[in-house]
Amino acid sequence: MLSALFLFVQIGFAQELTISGKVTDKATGESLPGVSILLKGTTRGTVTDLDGKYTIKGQKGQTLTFSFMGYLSQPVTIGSQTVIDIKLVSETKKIEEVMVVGYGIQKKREITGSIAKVESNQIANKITPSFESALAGQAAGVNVTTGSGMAGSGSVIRIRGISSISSGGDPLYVVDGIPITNDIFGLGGRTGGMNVNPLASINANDIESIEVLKDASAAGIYGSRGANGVVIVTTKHGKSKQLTVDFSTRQSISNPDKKVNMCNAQEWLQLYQEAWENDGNTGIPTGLPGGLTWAQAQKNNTDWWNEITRTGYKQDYNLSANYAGKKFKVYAGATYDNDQSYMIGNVMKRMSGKLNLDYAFSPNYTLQLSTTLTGTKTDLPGNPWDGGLGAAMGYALPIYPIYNADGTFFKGGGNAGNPIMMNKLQTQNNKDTRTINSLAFMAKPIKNLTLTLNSAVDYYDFSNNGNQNGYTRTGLWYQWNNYKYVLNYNYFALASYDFTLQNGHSLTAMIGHEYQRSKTTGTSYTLEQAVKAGDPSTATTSIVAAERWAFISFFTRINYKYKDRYIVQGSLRADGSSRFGKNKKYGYFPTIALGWIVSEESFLKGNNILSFLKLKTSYGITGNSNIPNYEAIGTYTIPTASSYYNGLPIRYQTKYSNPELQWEPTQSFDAGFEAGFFDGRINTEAAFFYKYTTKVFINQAVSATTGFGNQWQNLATIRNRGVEFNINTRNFVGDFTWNTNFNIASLQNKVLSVGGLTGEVGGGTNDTRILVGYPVGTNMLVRVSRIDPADGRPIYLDKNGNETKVYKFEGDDGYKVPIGKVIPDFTGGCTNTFAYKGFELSALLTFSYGSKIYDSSAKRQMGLATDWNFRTDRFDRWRKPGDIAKYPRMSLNGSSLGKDGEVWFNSDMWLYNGSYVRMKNLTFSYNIPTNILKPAHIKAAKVSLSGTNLFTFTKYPGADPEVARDFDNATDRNMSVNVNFLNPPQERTYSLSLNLTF
Amino acid sequence: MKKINHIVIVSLFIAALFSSCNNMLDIKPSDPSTILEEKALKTGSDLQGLLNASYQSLQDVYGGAFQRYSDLMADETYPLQPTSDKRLNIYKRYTTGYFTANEPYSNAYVSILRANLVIENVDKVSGLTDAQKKQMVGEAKFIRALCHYAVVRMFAQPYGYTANNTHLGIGLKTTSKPSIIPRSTVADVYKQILADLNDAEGVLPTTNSNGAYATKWAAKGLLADVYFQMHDYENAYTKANDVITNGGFQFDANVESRFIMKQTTFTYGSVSLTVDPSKETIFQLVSTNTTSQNTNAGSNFGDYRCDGTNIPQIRIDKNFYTQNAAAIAVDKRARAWYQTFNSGLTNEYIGLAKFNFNNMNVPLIHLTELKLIRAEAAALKATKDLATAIADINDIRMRAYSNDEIYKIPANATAEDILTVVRAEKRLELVGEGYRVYDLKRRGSGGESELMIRGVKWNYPGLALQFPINEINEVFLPNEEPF
Repeated sequence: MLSALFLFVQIGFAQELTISGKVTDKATGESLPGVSILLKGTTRGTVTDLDGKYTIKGQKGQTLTFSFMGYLSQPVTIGSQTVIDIKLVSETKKIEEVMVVGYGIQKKREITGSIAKVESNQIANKITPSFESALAGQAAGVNVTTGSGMAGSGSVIRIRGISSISSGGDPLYVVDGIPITNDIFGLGGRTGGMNVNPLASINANDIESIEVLKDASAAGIYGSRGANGVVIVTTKHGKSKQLTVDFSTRQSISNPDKKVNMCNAQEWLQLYQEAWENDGNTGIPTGLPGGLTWAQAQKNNTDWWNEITRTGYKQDYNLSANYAGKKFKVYAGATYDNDQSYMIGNVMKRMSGKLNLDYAFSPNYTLQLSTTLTGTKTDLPGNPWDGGLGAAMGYALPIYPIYNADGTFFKGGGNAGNPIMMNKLQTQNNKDTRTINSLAFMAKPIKNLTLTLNSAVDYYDFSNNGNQNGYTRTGLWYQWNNYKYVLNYNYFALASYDFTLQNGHSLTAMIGHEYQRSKTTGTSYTLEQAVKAGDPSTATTSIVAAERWAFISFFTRINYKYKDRYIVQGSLRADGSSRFGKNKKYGYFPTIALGWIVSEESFLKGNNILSFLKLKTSYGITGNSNIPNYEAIGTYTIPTASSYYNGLPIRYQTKYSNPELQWEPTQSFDAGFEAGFFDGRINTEAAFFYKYTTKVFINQAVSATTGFGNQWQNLATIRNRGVEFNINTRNFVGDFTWNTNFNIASLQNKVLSVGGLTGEVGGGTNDTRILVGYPVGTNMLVRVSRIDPADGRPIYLDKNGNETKVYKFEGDDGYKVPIGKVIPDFTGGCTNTFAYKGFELSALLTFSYGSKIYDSSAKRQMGLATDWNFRTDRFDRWRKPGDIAKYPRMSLNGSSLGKDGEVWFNSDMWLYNGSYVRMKNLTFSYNIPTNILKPAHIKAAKVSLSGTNLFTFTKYPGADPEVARDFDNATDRNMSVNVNFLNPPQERTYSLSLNLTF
Repeated sequence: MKKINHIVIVSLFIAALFSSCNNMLDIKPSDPSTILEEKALKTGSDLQGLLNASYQSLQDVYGGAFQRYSDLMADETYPLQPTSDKRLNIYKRYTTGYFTANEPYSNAYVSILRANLVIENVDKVSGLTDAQKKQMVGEAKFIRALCHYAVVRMFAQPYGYTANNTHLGIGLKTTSKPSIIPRSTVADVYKQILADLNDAEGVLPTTNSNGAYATKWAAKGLLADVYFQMHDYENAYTKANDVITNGGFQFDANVESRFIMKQTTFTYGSVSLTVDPSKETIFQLVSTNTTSQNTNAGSNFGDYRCDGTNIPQIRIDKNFYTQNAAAIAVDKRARAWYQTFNSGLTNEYIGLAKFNFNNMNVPLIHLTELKLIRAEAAALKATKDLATAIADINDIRMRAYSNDEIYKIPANATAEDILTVVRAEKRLELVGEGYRVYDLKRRGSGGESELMIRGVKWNYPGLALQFPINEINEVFLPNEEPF
């Protein structure tokens, strides 16, 4: 032994050369630190230093192997030269791209389902109110309607259409293996101008990738909860071989992307006076809103919009570290955001910490721990119609002052007439604390067998708090605190086995079991607070009845492949839920998918033009179970308070039992192809989908004659179909690169039946309906033919299309007809990325075509002279006989517009083309060269300038063509996207950010 | 062998897992006031609670809503404008699926559901004697009839609108099963009402608490009203006569007694009058006013109230007031029930003070009403009994005016005279109580084919209220709408 070593050393001394050089990236020219260099056949090796330089000794004829994670390793035979510079080629292209699928990962080329993947860099670089809206324009068939300009507001995401009416149409969000709590309406629904958004507590910086499962083949493994699509969020794990620390910060300013053109006092008074005179009055107008005289009103001119908006300012700071050792991997991150929107009184502050640990006991046994803790507080300005921006577009008239002469707030226009008062005298906030934790154990006890055990807890603690000064009420101060606590946990166990078969056959089979349970408890506290001694003070605390639900599931998936080109995937899930009726306790959700990689066939193999072609098709059944918890159970109640008859207690039935109540099953058919041309320079993907959903829930009374109120029933049938197309091109390669991604999806949605229930299902407070033969969310309005030039009155069309000056909305012989739909025909996005040296420019355009926007606020802003402010568009009006005008004569009386006593005329005068193209995001960034950074021990640094919602092309005259308002309930959310009621427009943001890697 | 063992163990494990699953999915509501259906009705007292609930929800039908909407169709009241579209639409006799009397409509069926559940469960609960069971079924049927009767009067054209009453009535609900049902004909609706009341009459006791529960007399009294509406004056007379003669109820001395719960003092200028609660009530909805319970069965009469800070949303037609209600100066009903506001000013109006109570009982069947029915029926039926009619009218007039002979109608009055007087008195006695429009419709369908109700004919489409929008479907047809 000793002699052998001696011999080796001897040889070394004899013929050794000292070789040095520098390793760089072939594409960027950047030096690569940490590249390992091994002298083949020996144990000798080294790594490059921070400048990518190395020195190693070796003999002529021996081989040096240069290898680095993410690059192709490169062998070099030592000749006589002593300097060997190496340019390593990135192997990104060569690594088999994988995608996260439900309960596993699969190679992209073998996936038969329809899955869209969005990478971390496409999420974290967007300035959005909440992470999910970063999906906008990124994936075909994933339609994102971004929330309003309010900090933390949620988006409405619809994957391949909408197949629900009363039940939640949102996709299932799975974070690190657990379907997370996202019960908007169970938590509190509408709070101060926006819906509660549990997704705002997910930190975009922690996300590694988002996979959106779109078709049955992909989402079928989620069974009764997969029909709306599944959004799988995977958080970051340690992956850098050296400890890497990243720091980033972004400082942004914002303003509304459009200021709504409200009238000033002079303009408002002019229109009011005209209305007064048109109605046959003379002299100085009286009866002004707010109890003001004409002279008083003339003295004021309050620009409420300016009073309650500001330049928004947002800052966020993110620090993370990651390291991947042989056995131990870690990712740790901490974030602080302070997102002040352009609305005074609207700020979201968020602190978040994240820790992901992976430990491999041995190559075959791994433990993963993932934990996140987030605290969020959002200050809310008030409801759209009082404290919020809506007041400035509605009840707050420019003729109202902010203060009375004595310095108190002016209350003549009611609370809604003075948003400054509401801002100062009312506070409201949403607070939440969320922690998502998962522990996974993976084992490969024998060859080809993988076992996974994953358990997770998602705890969500939410409160809506506020208080109102007595001045805004009848006298007493009022305080409220509504608390909700959601404990949601699950575990799943998987076993997967690879069968190695002969002759090119391969088969992987997975079986699994999952259990999930959730419990929501809460309390509600109110206090009417005495201000001065002697006033009564009443506090009430009530306990909100606990809501619990559970799912038990068993599932299997089999992937079969022959000759690397013929692929079959089958899956089956059995889901049992506490929500389902006694006779429908378990649902079964099978899927089957076929794939054929045509480019592997001899007739295409090696083809220079068509480098890759895969055909795929799938069919399967998925479900939606997004319904309240106890709807199948018949119940009675013994009312607690003041309900007696003749002094004796009463009890009565509140719900009938519905043992047949079940999930909404969706049958989906999908067919498509993926093709690559010119060795991957162009990649395209296209798919056709057809979804047929039956037993769709409608929450409505069967009939009042039953004696029961609304109850959930499986009644309707809805069809969605469409085509999706996606293309990625690398237009220029080399020093100057230009990549384009374009995606587009069409959608045709139709309600085929409402189960014979009624002719019409309404959608919350908005004027959309469910009608057989029309899409979900159909605008039912009276048509306006024209404005009569003779007298300036609107001429409506009756049901048969005959002109009439009478307005008649409701009733069987009412004039309302289905005239528009809120769902667009096409949506999509286009990203262009240009890079040269360290510079990069990336632009995202999103577009939507074919939807209608019903501007429910316009009917007051542009209708009769009431206690609402006008938009200046109203000046395009009839004034004298012969005028051809867009809007009718000014008037104070409904009779002038066709119905005495009516104030709100629901006509298509307020129905607008909702199509738009929007510059959603534009980012210009510069990577500072490493030689400048070296003295500061910085590995990489990037400075970026970006803008959000920079410009929008649209014919919609209102605030913003992308409208996701504060909805009343799930039905409203399904049916009334693109119905505007005083919705704050989205923010236009300019930001400067810095990313540093140490 | 070893392999088989493994399979057995794994199978057993899976079987155990599945069997435990059903327990894990068995999650019930935990709200303390909620009881599961299968546990809700175990004992007789549980069922009594359900029956009480059936009575209690009558408050949302007959506790003012039925009365005010019915009266808005007639010619004695009008709604304050601007007011909600609902009251205005009913007043204009132009209701649509959106603006109609949906609260009394749906609450009538709530009471019916509870009544049907009582009937269906009476044999399934423990601890009830046969007599108790019969009585509970009788009470349930009484309630069911009372509610169907409210709805058919409001939402359908009257009995006699078509020769065989084959015109559409309302949904008849005789089971608790939730399903879509078509409208039955008016003939069938009345047939069911009569059947229920006849059953009830047969099994109900003669007394039951303070008029808060149905009795034999209540069933007979309601039958009198139903027969009267059906133009069956012979039976109306017989039933009313039976109650008045044999029921042992005592005609009140004061007009103020009807709605009060306890002895109350009324002040008219310098006159102070202390009045006891009614002794003539046969069936009423009762309120409670104790420290722990405070209910008002007549809260839906609130639209009329004109006391304290209440501004009446429904007011009295001036012509009716001057020409009828206050036509005779000594009429005690005028001083008790009307109040003039802003007297002499342009915004003068008359409020109905009849329901100015925080807690009140709502008598639905009482001697005054039955005497008015008996008197009118006596003058209308084939073999007339004018003497009884005259006596009834005089009882009412003596109480309202004074014992002065000049207010009596003469013993030789003709049937025609009697009808004129009794109809006038009925308006004055029962103003605000929802009778007027149905009396007019009854007369219209009973032969006065040209009879007008505030400008429209008795059979005008808008006089049958439109059904709430969600009722209308392929099998349930809406009413014709006027235009």
